[in-house]
Parts: sequence; structure tokens; C-alpha cells
Amino acid sequence: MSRPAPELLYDSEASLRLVDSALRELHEHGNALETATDDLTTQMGSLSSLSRTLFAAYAETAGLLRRIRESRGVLERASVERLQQMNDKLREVTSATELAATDILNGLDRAVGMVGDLEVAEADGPERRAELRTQLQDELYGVMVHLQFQDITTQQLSYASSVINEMEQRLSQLVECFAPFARDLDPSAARTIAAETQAAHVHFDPAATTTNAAERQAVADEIFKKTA
Amino acid sequence: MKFLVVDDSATMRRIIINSLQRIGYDNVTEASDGQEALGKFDGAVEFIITDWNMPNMSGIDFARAVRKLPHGARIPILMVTTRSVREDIVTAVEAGVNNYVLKPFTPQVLKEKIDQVLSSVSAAAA
Repeated sequence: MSRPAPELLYDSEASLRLVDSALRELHEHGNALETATDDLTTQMGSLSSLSRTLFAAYAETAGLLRRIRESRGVLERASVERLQQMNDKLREVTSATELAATDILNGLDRAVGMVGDLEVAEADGPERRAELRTQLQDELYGVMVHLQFQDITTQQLSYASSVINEMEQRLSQLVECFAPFARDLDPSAARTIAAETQAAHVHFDPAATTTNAAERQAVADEIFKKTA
Repeated sequence: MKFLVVDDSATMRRIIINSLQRIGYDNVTEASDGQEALGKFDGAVEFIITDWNMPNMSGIDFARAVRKLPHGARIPILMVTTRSVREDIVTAVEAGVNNYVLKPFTPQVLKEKIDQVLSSVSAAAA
């Protein structure tokens, strides 16, 4: 049975309205989807940027740790040994100074005694007086020779000073690792110290010693004898 | 005989000069480093006593420089130093140093080495 035309027209119009409404909804959803996709892309970009930042921070931290480990290694290996040598040198300066002072005092004591002998020997004739004068001169010359310790201990103290400068430089290098976090520190100062230390090295013998002079002289004599 | 004494330590220069005077060498000129010594090295200098470690120019470089000079090829050079490492002594020999005295020296050793150098140089010249 066929339906009347007005009823059919009404149903068709209703159907078209429903289709139109569905299309409008779909369009709205499409816009929301597009916005959501854009947001997601932006967030993914931010995440990528965060990842890059984290990686850079990791690389920086790893580099810093590596430098700290290297510095610690260098300090452990070289510096401890150098500090021990410096300590030995300073101890030798103390003993060399003490020994030289004792020798000089002994020489002066003998010289003072000889001056007394000279006065007493007035009556013993010119030969005895000349002999005593020579002995006195020898004694005073001996005192002068003992003053060689000054040159040697100066070199030993220069060595100790160079070790302290070197330690200061190494510690400054360690501090330089934290330079971005310690803006007040001037790392260039460490480089200046290092250059000065290096330059000063030629002015002294790091192995200078007052001990075993005869044995060391024998080694030199042997070498010169062989090559002569 | 004219001596040239080169040492950056004024104390050491005085000790060496005094030692030379005691054994009869009064004609002594002095310098505080190799550079200054080269300036004072003239035809009149007949014997050089030099330290090794000095500023501006070391004793070893001074010895090498002297050996290159026309009147320095045969001049006696005695090195008075603290450097007692074997390699250093060999370096001194190679640089043309005639003999070597280690600090701290005794007056007897210094005199002995001066005498040895003078006799070997005169023997070589004969």
C-alpha cells in the first residue's frame, strides 16, 4: 500500500535533516581530531627537545666525572710521590742547616781558641806565630766552605716551592671543571702559575743534596776517567 | 792566569773565588749566569769554572757556546754543580766540560780538579 505524498515528503525532509546533522557532527569531530593531532605533534616536539637537553646534560656530567677521575688519578699517582719527595727535601734542609751551623760554630770556637793561642805565642817567636796564623786562616776558610749549604738548601727550597705551585695548579684545574658553577674563580691564574713553575725549573737542581758528596764525586770521576 | 767564575749564587762565587785566591789565583772575574759570562768571555780568560743551573743561560749551554767560539775551543772548563745524575755528567762531557766537581766540595777536591784540568790541557797542547 502506497503512502500519501505529503507524508513521504515529510519523512524525506526529516531524513535529510538527520543526514545534515550527522555531517555537521562529523565535521566538528574532524576539527577536534585535527586539533588533537596538532597538540600531539607539538608535545612530541617538546619531548624530543627535552630528550636532547637530558642527553647534553648527561654528556656534560659524564665529561665532568671523567675529568674529576683523571685529576684524582694524577693527584694520586704523581702528586703523592712528589709531596713525599718534597717532604724529604724539607727534612734535609733542616738537617743540612743544623749540621752546617754546628760545623761553623765548631770552626769559630777553634778560631777563637787560636786567637788566644796567638796572644800567648807572642813570646814563642815569629815562626810559631806564623804557624798559628796559617792555622787560623785555614780554620776561617773552613768556616766559609761550610756556607756552601746555603746554595744547596736554596735549590731544595726552590724544589719544594715548585711542588707546592704544581699542586696549586692541579687543584685549580680540578676547580676549573666546576667553572660554570664557580664564576668567581679565575682559571687563567692556574695557567700563569704553571708557566712560572716550568720556567723556574731551570734555575735549580731538583735532586740537589748535601749528602754523600764523596760518593757522588767518585761517580763523576769514574765517568770523566772513562771518557778522557 | 785569569779565571772566569760563573754561578748564580753570590755565596758560591765568593767561596770559589776565595778558594782560588788561597791557591794562588788572584786574577778572577765573575758572572751570575751564562749570558753575562759570554759577555765577559774575552781572549784574556784562561780558565772557566761554571755552575750548571742558572737563569737566562745554563752552565751547560754556556759551555757549548764557548766551545763554538774561536778562542774557546781549547779553554779549560770545570763544572761545579749539584747535578750528580749519571746522564747529566755524560751530557757535561759531551758539551766539552773538562772536569766536574760536585757541591758541596772540599777545598782539596777543587784544587785537585783544577790541577788535573791544567795538566791535561797542557799535555794535549804539547
